[in-house]
Amino acid sequence: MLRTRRLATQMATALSLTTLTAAASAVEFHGYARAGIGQNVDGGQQVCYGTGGVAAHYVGRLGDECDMYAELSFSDEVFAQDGKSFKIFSTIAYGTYESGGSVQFNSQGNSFQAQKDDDSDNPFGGGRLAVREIYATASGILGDSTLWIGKRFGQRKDIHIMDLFYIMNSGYGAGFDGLTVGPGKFSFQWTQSASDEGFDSGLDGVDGTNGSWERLNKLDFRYNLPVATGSVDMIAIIGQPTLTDDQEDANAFNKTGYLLTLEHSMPFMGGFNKFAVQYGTNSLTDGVIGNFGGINHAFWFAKDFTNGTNESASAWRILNHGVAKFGQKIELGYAITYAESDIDIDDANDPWRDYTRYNVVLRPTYKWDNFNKTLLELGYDVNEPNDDLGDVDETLTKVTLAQAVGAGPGFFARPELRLFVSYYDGERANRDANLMFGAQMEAWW
Amino acid sequence: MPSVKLTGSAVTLAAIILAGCQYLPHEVEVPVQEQPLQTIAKPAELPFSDFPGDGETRWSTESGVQMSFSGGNSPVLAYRMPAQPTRFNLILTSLGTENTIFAPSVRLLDANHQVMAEFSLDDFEYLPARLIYPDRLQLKINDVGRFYGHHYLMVFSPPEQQAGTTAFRDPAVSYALATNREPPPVEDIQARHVTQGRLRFDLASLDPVAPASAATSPAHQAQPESVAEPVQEANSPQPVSEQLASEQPADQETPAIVEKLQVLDTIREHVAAGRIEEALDLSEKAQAQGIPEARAVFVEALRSRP
Repeated sequence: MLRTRRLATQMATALSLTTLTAAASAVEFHGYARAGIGQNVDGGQQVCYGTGGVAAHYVGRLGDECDMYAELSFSDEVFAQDGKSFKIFSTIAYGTYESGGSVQFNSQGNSFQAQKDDDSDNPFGGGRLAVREIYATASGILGDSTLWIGKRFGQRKDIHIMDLFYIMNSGYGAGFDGLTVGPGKFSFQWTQSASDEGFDSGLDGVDGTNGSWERLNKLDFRYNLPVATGSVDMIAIIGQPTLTDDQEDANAFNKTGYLLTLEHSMPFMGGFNKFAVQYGTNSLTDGVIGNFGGINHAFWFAKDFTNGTNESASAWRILNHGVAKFGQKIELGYAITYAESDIDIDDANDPWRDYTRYNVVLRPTYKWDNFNKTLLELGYDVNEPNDDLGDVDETLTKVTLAQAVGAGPGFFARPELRLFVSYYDGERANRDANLMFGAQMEAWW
Repeated sequence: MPSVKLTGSAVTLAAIILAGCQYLPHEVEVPVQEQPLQTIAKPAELPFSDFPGDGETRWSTESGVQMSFSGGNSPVLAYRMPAQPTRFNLILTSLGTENTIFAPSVRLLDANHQVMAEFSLDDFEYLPARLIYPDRLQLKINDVGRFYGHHYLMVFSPPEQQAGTTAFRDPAVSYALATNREPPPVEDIQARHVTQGRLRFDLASLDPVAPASAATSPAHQAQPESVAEPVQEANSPQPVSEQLASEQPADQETPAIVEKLQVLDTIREHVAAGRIEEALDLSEKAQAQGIPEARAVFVEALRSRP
């Protein structure tokens, strides 16, 4: 009888798993959000020295975010049978306006702030809305990889406390992830970026508002190799412009760009550490000297606008970041980067020519209990444009102290509700806007 | 007698999406008995409490209720479940702390204390912390069936499970996965299994309204807002297998898990007792009623005869 009971139990398990499989097709809801309120102690609205956009947060993002931003992600496994699975993913993003510069005022306007990107100066406007992801995947088709086509973020690599994505080849594309090749996993994707240099396609009989866009075809090869200390990622993104005859005749930017990244990841002191080296050229230079590595067709880095010629640009960067635990109560998030660019343009006003940038951000966190934390964030950033620009503001220092309550004691436990005060100093800090306080929530789920 | 307060909560939107089911919130006080139990062989001696239904309870060894195993003892919560005239899903969730969790096993017993189904820790799914929920171990028993009389539920943690750990996903990895970033190489947190913790029960009816056949069943319909309140017992509940053999339901429904198990067990028992004709007859009827594995169980039982 015991045996039959066991069999019955096994069947019960099998049956329940059968039905569980059906239940697993429920829609998954994930997301990210940040929003809050801030105030300049000297009066006026909150001022931030980094943004969630291209400028990133080189002195750390804590207490330095002036925008509202949210991503709502929905996914569903719509089919699963015979070892094959098909899923649909989508992400809707909305947020307030980002200046894109190194300093911005708080862009969180009024309650009925509309999603109108062309109305950024209006507190009833300036919101933005985008479908950041819409793609489908199929697994069980090509070995152990996952095929995908559509629009997606891709396998982004970021330094969270700086909101810096040093790899972000996001957008429309097709490819596969995680195919076992040798001892590691191989991934490939074909993506595109578009820029408007102002040269029409010139195709006879083809009219359209997007006819002047120039496409950059990007082939993205990645190999993840397990090693004794952790893993190594080798990433090569090759960007080749594709031009019409008229665009070529107009000397639209046509140089191939490369973005090469070598990264070592390892567990470290209860957390992790990542070290990466990057080298980018031509229109893939911008993500190496700044944010969003690999996303843009940034021809402007290598374009001599005075002479209308296509020149060469390159940049390299090293970075190291991670989180380490010191006992049960203290965790430290840290990041350090160093980058240099070399732009082959004889333009004294080009800030990117012979540009050097380095920074360090430290975020020690003390956990009072499972829910309460005290956070301190220290940031130091140095920009050194080419000498021809003369005496420019180079340094920025930030100290932020925050008291937070969060859903758990972990460094990445969210949602987290914070009260903060931030102090800025250095040549880039405005004397009338160097002390801010406020409250902010950050959540993911 | 100490008691723990169980606070009912609204069914999550996810649960509705999952099962398209009905949720009946309530709030009950559940007494915790203190009589020790010496052996698992006598579930009749368990100090059964009323089933908490949808809600959360804290598990504590302070209750003193223990089950004896060869390798040691286990605290046990034993519930008397009222009749459920509608088919339902039962979800049991063990809620972890930062680095500990109660690792449960579950037994479902019929009115005669016979084991109908048993679920070990392997049947639980690990769910990483998300939003306001901590790391969890969750068992979903989908389509448990209808209970025309009361049943019993035992939750315990055998010694071998107490000695283990469950890998919790580090929040940094969850963060990366939820926001489509590359997860950092953070090792899982090995959460210790402990003998106290928090349990949550969720019941979800699969029938938006009681089926027509339920009106003629010997049980009462569940009353809204009080699904976990004891419902008056049916009169001498008829074994489901016999119901299946003698009744033709008004609508062709797929038998629930418990019903299937009872039928399959009955087939085995017939074979073991030499009642081959009865076993064959039941297996054929079971197949006709939507239990295709009945034939295989019958054949397997035949082959397994000594």
